[in-house]
Amino acid sequence: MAAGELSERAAIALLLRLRFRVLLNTLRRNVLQLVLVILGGVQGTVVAVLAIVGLVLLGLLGGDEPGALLVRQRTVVTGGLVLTLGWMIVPLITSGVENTLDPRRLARFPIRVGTLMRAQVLVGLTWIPGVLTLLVALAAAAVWRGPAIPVAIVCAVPGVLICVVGSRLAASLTTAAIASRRTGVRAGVIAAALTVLVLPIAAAVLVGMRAAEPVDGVVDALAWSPLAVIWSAPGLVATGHPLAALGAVALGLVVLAVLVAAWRASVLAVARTTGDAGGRAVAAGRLGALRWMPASPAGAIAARSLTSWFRDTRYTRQLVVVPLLPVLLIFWARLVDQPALAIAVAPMVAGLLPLTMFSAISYDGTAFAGQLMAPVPGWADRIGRAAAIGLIAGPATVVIAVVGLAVVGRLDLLPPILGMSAAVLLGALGVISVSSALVVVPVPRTGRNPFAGSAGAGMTSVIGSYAVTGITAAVGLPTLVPGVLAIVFDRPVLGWATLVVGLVEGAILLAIGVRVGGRLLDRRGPEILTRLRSTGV
Amino acid sequence: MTRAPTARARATQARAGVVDEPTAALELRGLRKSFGAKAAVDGVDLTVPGGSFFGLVGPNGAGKTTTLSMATGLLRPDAGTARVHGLDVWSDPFAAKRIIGNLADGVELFDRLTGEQLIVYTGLLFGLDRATVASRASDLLDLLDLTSSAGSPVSDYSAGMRKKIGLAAALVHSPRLLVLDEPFESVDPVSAANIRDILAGFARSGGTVVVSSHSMDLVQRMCDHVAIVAAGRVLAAGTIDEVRGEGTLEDRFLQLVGGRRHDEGPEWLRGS
Repeated sequence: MAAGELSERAAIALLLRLRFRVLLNTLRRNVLQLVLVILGGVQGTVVAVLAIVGLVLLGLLGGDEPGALLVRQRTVVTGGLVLTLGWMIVPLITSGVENTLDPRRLARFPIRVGTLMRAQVLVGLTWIPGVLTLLVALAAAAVWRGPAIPVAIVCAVPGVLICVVGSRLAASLTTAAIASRRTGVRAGVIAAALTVLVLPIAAAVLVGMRAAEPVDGVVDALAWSPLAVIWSAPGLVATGHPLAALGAVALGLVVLAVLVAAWRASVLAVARTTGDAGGRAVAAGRLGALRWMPASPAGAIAARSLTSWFRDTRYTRQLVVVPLLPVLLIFWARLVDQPALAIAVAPMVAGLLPLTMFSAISYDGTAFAGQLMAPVPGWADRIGRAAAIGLIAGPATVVIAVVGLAVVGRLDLLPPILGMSAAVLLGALGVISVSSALVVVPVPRTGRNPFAGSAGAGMTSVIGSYAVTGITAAVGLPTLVPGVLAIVFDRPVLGWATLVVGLVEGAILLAIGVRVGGRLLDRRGPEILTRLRSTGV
Repeated sequence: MTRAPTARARATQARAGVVDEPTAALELRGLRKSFGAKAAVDGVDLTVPGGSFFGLVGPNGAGKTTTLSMATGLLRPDAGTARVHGLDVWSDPFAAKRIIGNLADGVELFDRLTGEQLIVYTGLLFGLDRATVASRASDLLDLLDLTSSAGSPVSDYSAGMRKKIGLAAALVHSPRLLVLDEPFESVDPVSAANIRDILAGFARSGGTVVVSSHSMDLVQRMCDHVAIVAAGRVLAAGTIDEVRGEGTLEDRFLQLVGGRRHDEGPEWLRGS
């Protein structure tokens, strides 16, 4: 038996082959996932082509006077920052991130951490998002003229590496937070991640707001924030600041080194953990939500769902991220003086929170069998799950509506906003009650089959979310139209009417959804379990 | 193929003191299930008499789990029927499930719940009231020696403890028919002996137990009826004595199933 250590190159090649073999087998076995990967690839390509065309046009238009150069610089820096943040945020909010090379799965094999990290970076660079990101980053050189072009091409490499490494760091931190048994560690990891992501940007925003033109001032300050600095180097060369450009490149490389070091530390920490902690033990007799929920099948399912919301990190992370959206929107609304953003934030959140039910049965996994064994009618399941989300989303929406409107001083708009929120929230719950009985999303299951691929899981959620959002908006029109009219033309009577219509319509939509979804579940329960068995265990 | 099922069912019921029992506890007729081209269950007929302690034995991949899944409403058969005390599992699933206690193999539990919460949750799903659920949960935790872990999340349980908490969940609604897929896997000997006593008592009081197992010894000692399945078919079924004849159950099993090897494995596997 050849049990010696592989060379670095051979080990990386082996890991890459493993990753693509798993991907290929997963896609071959599952047509839906293949379709979704193709759709995602097409969607990504369209976005990338649009971005490249935009960058080329930006380079052609406007000549070379200082004003045009400044616009280009601001566009590239903002784009680079958004791109980097996107890479880092996606692993925080979705569980569909590629995780074939999860260090915990490979812990039993003799692989060096550095080798594993390099293999993961290569995996990131060789899959659809990585390739497209690299192309767009290189295309950014088309914006510039003269010596700035080679600088842009050279800087694209560390720029994309910051994206990929940042993404892996975010994924690794999420895993560490999930694996940790102590609430303090979880909170610490989340706080650290938010600090890294938000603090430099917030500081730049505060600095920039003192400038004469707040938005431009913010962008100029952001150019020196850690995640954007590497993208500002070519523009500094073009505007005749080569020394500043050198400083920007150096700073960018320091950022990359810091990210790599943090990632290595978190990989080492994660590799020592064994699995997802289930929460802390409680005294016997502590039944949690099971104690106060109605003693019925629907009540039991609602209580069990609520427990998942606070104990299963796949749910909890959505609870952490969702409040970020309203905070950012309300903050932004103040900053750019667009009160519409703060006014609309409550209905938006009302539509977003139910999306978490989209994959609820998939998250159950084969534990769903425990429910299928009992004589539980489908409608009881639908009501239970919808109630659990409603108990969280209802109060959250009301609070966000009040805060958002108060910040822009339009509390008089509360009735139409609450009416629209109610229609969207209850309507989305109704739509998802049906859709989640139809579609089983392939979700990764920590601690199960170590090499089960989850290619396309992210896409299923994303495309499914598009569809659900679109349908919700369509069925919500009877409330949304009068609500918007009431706000635009400032008609309080119409606003109160919207509140009534929204509550009634939402209740009707939810009732229909529970009925239809419940029947589907009654009919398809065993088939859903079969599908869960094939994707999960 | 079962031989003279109805007569034996009656006899068993009489022995168990159940006289108002016109039908078998579990009656499978012509069950079939294919996964792709492979027939996992290929026409299973089986009658489990009420009040019996019934063992289902067979080699790996024989179709035991598939059969039991179809018998309990978890997997829709391609053909055939399953009846539980006369109730058709597939046309009247709610009525049938109300009297089945099911411990399925290879499925997860809601492991974010504590052991106690899992039992209470299951009891409420079966429509029990809160007071009944609470007292039964504490009885079951005590019975299965899980009281000290009642407040720990199931994700912290060992494999054997998960089997036991699954069994508790299967028992909480006091079913008439218990269907247990590999209930003794990973369970320590003391717990296994306790569980055997509980199941024997359950069968003596008129309930029916169906267990699948690899352990011939265990089935021979514990069960009064047995069926040997292989390659998706029933090779033999009846009382233990009928099936094993003169020898042990294991002899009969190996004779029916075949596949016994007579070497000691490859050279490199032998200790030096």
